[in-house]
Amino acid sequence: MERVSGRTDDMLIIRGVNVFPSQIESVLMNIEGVEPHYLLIVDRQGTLDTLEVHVEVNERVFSDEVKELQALGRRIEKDIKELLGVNAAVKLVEPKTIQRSEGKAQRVIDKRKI
Amino acid sequence: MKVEQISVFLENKPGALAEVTRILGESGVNIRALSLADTKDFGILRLIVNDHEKAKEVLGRKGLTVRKTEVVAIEVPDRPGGLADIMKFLAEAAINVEYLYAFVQRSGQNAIIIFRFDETDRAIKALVDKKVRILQGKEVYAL
Repeated sequence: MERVSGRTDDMLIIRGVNVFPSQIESVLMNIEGVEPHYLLIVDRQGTLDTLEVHVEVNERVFSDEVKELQALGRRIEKDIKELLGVNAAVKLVEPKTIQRSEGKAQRVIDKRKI
Repeated sequence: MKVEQISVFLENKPGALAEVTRILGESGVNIRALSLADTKDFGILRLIVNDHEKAKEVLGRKGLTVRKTEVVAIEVPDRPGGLADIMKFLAEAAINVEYLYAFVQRSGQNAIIIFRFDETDRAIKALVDKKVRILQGKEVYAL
C-alpha cells in the first residue's frame, strides 16, 4: 500500500492524480526561506483540471531581480511535479494575503462543479 | 559610492501602486527616481527616496515585502553618445548591467542614471579608474 500522506477527506483528485494539500506544504518547507503558507485553486478548463498554487513572497525570498523570482516559481512547480506528478502553476503573492487561522486554515478553493 | 534603492514586491492588480504611493506620501517620504519591472503576476517597484530607512519601515509596517539593494548613480554627459560611451566601456570591462533607469533630477549639465550591476564593487572600481563621475548616496537623496 502506498504511504498515506493525509486524511482522505483532504485529498483532491487532479487529472486523475491523488493530491494531498499537505504534500504541497512539504514541498514549500523544503525550499529555504519559503513559508509554508499556500492556497490551492483547483479549476477546470474544458476537460482538463488546472492547479494554481499561491505562494507568499516574504522578505527572505524576495529578490530584487525578476529573473530570480521567476526561477523560484519554476523551482516550486518542478518540485511539485516531481513529488506529486501534477503540473501546477505557481503564482507569487504578497504576504499575509493568504489567511491563517487556528486549526484548519482554508488551503483549497475547488472551483470545479462536480 | 553606493546608493540604497528600495524594492517593493507588488501583485499585478489595481490599487497596488496607489497604496504604495499613498503610504509614502503620508509619511513624508519623497520619491527621487523610480522604475517598475512587470511580469504577468507581479511587479517589482524600485525607488530612490530621500529617506530610505523610513520608507522601508513604513511600507514594511503595512505588510508589504520590501528590501534594500545597492545601486550606482552615474553622471552621464547630456549629449548624444553620452550613455553610449559609458556602455561601451562597461562592455569592454565585461561588467554586466542587470537594469537601469534615469533619474528625475539632473546634476548640473549632466543626466543621472541609476545602474544595478551584477558585480557592484568591480563596476565601481572600473568606473572610478576611468574617471566616470559617480554620485554619493547622500548627494542623490538630497537632490
